[in-house]
Amino acid sequence: MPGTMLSQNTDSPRPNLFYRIFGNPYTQIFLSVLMNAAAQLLLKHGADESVRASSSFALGFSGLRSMWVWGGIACMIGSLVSWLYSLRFVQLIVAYNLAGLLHVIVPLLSWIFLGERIAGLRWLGIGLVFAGVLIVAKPIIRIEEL
Amino acid sequence: MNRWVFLAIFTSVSSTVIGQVFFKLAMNQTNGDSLRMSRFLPVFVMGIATMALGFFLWLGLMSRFDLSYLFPFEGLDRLLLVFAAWVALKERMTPTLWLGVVLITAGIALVSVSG
Repeated sequence: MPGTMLSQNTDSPRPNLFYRIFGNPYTQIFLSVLMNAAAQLLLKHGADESVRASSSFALGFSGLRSMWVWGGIACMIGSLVSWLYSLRFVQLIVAYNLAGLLHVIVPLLSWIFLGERIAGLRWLGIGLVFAGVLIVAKPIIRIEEL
Repeated sequence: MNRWVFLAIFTSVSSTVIGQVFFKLAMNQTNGDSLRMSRFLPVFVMGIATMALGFFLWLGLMSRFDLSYLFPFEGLDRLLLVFAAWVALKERMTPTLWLGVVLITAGIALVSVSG
């Protein structure tokens, strides 16, 4: 029946590119990890800055004066929103282990932006984590390509 | 090791894991046609509360002990999460997932001992 075909097409149009990318729960897991990593770096930078600025030790609350810390908090909230969205569709075990990528990205960003050193054995550990994440991700990539 | 310290570490790590399970249960409520706020909100708030408990307990531990002493225990969360998701969410483990979990846990452990 061509009529029903037509109405089906108008009722559910092909999702646009934006939705296909950002509506994908795995994209959101990746964004969640990126925002979490950014938050870690912003918080670290803000904490270092506020320690230099304040003479008294005030349980970390002095950090709230730093714009970097507020940026970090904003990234944390964004990260949580993306994470919750992806949990609607993905098993917790799978999502949680994909988010293990955080343990790869944070050291890399600290190395690049904060100038922290990474010793030999630590590179090996980071490599193991990355391999583990790839193994968890591989069956998903195969499904998504279908 | 003092058994109270171990208990505090264990409580902190399991709170974070239980918080994740609450989040997953809460988001499962949003998967239907309509969002049932009365079912979503209590579970979500429980998730936030357990997460907060785990976070502040961890902060307290960090102020008393070296990070290098505490950090290896953070690797436990993955194994606890597998157990919790299996029991509470009936999620199934596959051999591939196990391999991934073991590699990630081993990698994090290696990073934390090579400080």
